[in-house]
Amino acid sequence: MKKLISKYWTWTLSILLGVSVYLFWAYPYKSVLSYQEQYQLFLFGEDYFLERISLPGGLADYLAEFLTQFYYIPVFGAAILGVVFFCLQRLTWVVSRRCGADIQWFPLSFIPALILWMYMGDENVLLCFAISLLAALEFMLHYIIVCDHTKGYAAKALYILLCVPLVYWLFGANVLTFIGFVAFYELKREKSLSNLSLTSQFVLYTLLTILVSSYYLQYPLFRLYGGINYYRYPAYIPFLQITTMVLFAVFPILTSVLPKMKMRILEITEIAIIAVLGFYGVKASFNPQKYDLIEYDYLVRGEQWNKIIIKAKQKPADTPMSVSIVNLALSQREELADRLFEFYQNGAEGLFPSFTRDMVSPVPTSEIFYRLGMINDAERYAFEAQEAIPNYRKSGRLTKRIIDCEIINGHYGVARKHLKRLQKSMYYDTWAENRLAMLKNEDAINADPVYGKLRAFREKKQDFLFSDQEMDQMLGLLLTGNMENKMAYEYLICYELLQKDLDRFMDYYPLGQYISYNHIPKAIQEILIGNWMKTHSNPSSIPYSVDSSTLNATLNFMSLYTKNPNSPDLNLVPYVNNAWHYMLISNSGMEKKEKEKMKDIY
Amino acid sequence: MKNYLLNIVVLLAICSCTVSQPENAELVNEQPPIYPDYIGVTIPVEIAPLDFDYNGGEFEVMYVLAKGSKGGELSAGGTTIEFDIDDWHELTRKNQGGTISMTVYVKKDGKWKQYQDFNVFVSNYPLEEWGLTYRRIAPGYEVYGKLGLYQRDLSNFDETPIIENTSVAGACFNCHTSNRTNPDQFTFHVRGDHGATMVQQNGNREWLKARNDSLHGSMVYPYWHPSGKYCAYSTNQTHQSFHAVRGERIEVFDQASDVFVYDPNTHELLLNTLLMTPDHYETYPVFSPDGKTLYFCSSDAKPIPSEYKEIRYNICKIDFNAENGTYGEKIDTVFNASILGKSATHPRPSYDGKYIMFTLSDYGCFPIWHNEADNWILNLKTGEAKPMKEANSSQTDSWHNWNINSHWFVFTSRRGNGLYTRLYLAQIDDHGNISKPFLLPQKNPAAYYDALIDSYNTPDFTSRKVEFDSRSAAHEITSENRIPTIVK
Repeated sequence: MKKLISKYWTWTLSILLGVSVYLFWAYPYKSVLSYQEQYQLFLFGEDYFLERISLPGGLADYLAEFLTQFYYIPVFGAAILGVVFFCLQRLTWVVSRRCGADIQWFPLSFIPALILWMYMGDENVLLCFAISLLAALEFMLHYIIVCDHTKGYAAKALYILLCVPLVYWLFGANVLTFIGFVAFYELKREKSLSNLSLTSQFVLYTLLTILVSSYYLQYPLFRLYGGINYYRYPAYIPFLQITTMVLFAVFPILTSVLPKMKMRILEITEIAIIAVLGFYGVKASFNPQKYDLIEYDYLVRGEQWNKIIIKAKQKPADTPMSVSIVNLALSQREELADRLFEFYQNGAEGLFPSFTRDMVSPVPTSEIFYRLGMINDAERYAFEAQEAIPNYRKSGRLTKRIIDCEIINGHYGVARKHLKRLQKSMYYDTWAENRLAMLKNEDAINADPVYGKLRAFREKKQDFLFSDQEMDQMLGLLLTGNMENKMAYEYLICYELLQKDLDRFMDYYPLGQYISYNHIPKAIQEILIGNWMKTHSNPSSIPYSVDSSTLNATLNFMSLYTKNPNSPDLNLVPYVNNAWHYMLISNSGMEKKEKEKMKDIY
Repeated sequence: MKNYLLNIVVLLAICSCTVSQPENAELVNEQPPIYPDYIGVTIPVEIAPLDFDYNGGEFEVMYVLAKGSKGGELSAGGTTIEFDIDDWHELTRKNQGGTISMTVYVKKDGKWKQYQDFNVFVSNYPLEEWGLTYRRIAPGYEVYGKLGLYQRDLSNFDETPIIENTSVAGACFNCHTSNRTNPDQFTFHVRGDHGATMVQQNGNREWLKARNDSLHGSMVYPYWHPSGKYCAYSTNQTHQSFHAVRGERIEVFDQASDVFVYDPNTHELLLNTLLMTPDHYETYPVFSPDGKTLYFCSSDAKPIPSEYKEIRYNICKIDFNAENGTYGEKIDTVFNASILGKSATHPRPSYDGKYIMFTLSDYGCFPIWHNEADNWILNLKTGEAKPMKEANSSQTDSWHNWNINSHWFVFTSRRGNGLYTRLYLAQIDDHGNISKPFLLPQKNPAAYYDALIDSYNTPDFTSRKVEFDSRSAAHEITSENRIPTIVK
């Protein structure tokens, strides 16, 4: 085995990279794969292909989207990324070797791939960039082969003449990586004036090719030079992308000028340093807060409510989006009114986060509205999230949700239109077929456990205009429309609690008698006990069905608070989990939610 | 996915052989179910071919024979009907004022069926326009993704962008308006961080400051004076909110709006207190074809949103003197919709001076989101107003414009699926008779419209292709150089 490893150590290391990449994305970061997949919708069909290929970098974009659809199943996605990184590193080395790099410096060939890995810590970096880098490396290799097998300038000039527009159109701005390499390669090979002149012409030709395309394309020049589909946000080209492109262009030349040394220790040192720096570099480049949110959203997508609660127990959710997801998870387990104050709360925002014009936060909020039966708002948030995708892609997940809403609302024409699109996808086609068969079959739709329930829940008669300042009134209408809507009741009660509006709470909580509870939820009990004790001295006279442990815990809290409202013990379990801690001590909910401004059009 | 691959194989197999006119087909006593519904429509000469698809379930192949009443015939076959453009034009030219009779054969389960023939009427009225301009945008709420202003050659299927928001990230373009379909003069509004009102005259672009302190908002809903010396705009504080019940989606309302005229030569705003009353919302200004009258819509200013369902607009007018840019001294009501408990918006006078076409809805200023919205026509000679029943549908029918000879009009309708607006064209003859409208022709229309996830907005005719340097325009939008408007 040792011999084998010694003989094939370069392959072993390359495979190790691929496996590391696979493990990284298959386990701790699999939620990112779901994230990437849900902000695109690859469709089989000529139109879709032509739409992609009609822009520079179109083939890379098409291939990347084709591959990204497999992220739907995380192990496939991780395997694809493992292979991509393996190929990138191997090709980097092959090109370096052809440039004259010594085997001693093989471990350095991991650097460009590792830098790319770090860059991909930015969730908006698209696979298209990696695919186009692969293509650029391939064309670099062929350029060396052309140079090695021909004499004079004609062959390589012809190669550049043909390949530059081809690489640009098919793979995009990484043609600059390719031509950058060619320039360095030529400067290293021959420092004559004529070669310098030819190389300058190559570079100029490439720059002009891109410039000329700008007259026919409705894209700003900086995006054509920086790549249209390498990065999800169109407003700028990240510095690290440019760094990565430069690195891939110069790396083979840099390694080729390093001295040849036969030192085993050097290789081992290189491996050790690169492994350590790579590990910490990758770790540092993945922002834990951002990926926390991505993971929360992933868990919502998979309806993994228990995992959401466990995650929040391990590390408290503290952003409007994550808090709202934890509350959603509690509600799906029918524990919201029991366990609301076990978790950090940030006011009514924790139930209904304010709308933001981005593609991320409206997604779980749409999920909340959907499950409540606020179908129009669920569709609106899903639609807005989809329209907010900065590179104008559509989303399989969001399209599904839009279709769900259209079906529930009985808008079958629109549902059919979207379903026909999904029929052309890899992972949504079966679902689309099933739903198409269901359309216009009211009995089948009403019998569907989700559609039937939500049709019963949704507002049917009393129209109102959405106002997030009046969420309680909207929830009240939902509830009175269908008293089986337990989630609406829990959100209504918790909304008033989180708003610290005890008067309205007292108005609404009795509606709980119509809901299928076998006990008064704990948070409600705590408030009822506290309220009672404000005007009564004897807890045994409490007219509510409260359990003794909740009674004692609340009395203990009141007693401690009365003695010393600033007692540090109040911030410890179990006091911190009492509803009165939120009411009396927490600053959350002090400022009632501001009314969502009406949407400006002009 | 599997079906998709299977379809490709079947399609390839079908395409590999040509379809000839079937013999001994079984006669079916009904008209063919086709998409789009072109049965009995009236078209102008040299319109793009009325390609269509079979809409009657599974079938193998179809064949169509088109025969002109004044001569000429044309056939096509396959899984979708595609007529040769030149041959189709020739057929329409030959049959101007006549009919084209379509015989449709469909092969199902190995057997050919022949449906009843249907006619397409070729109008005597020429279109006299190169094509259409419009905006394409997803029918969304607040956030917008990719959108653009486009133009479409009506003699074929070519669509080209005038400007798309890929050229300026985050920008939104709307209300592209030329002067009497002549693109020598046109204006549109840019929303977003780089907001502006663009006015192009004879190739020269000017970018006006989106807002003026004397106005409530920016300059929207433009309409050129026929002389080209002025352009009327409204200035609106427009907001939207969202309904809860299944049949409604969005409510758009103005919380303030006024009407004024802009002089592009001096950059002056010609304001008038009669058009900027605090107790009325004035909007949608348009000039009469002689330029002596400014029409607009006006409603009592009621509290929004509490009384949004009580906002009802009437069509009003005021005299306008183009010589010195002055207004008359009184407002007259041309069509009192509020008496009917309705709201009349988006008036468009025909260029021959005979009619005003407008949209009637239950309430509000934005009928585009109202299912009940229908287009109406007001005869300016008789004062009679009536719904355009022949062109309206049970779904929203709204934004419309006339062609230069006022015998054709284009409008948007959600009749296809209830949400995505599509463009329809129809004819109105000398006696005011309106023809059955036809959907804007597309090649392989079912697939095209299924795949299109945009709505069409604000269509208008254009007498020739719009020349617009979108590359320079994009630079200018981001440059922030804006010309301030001044109040005269």
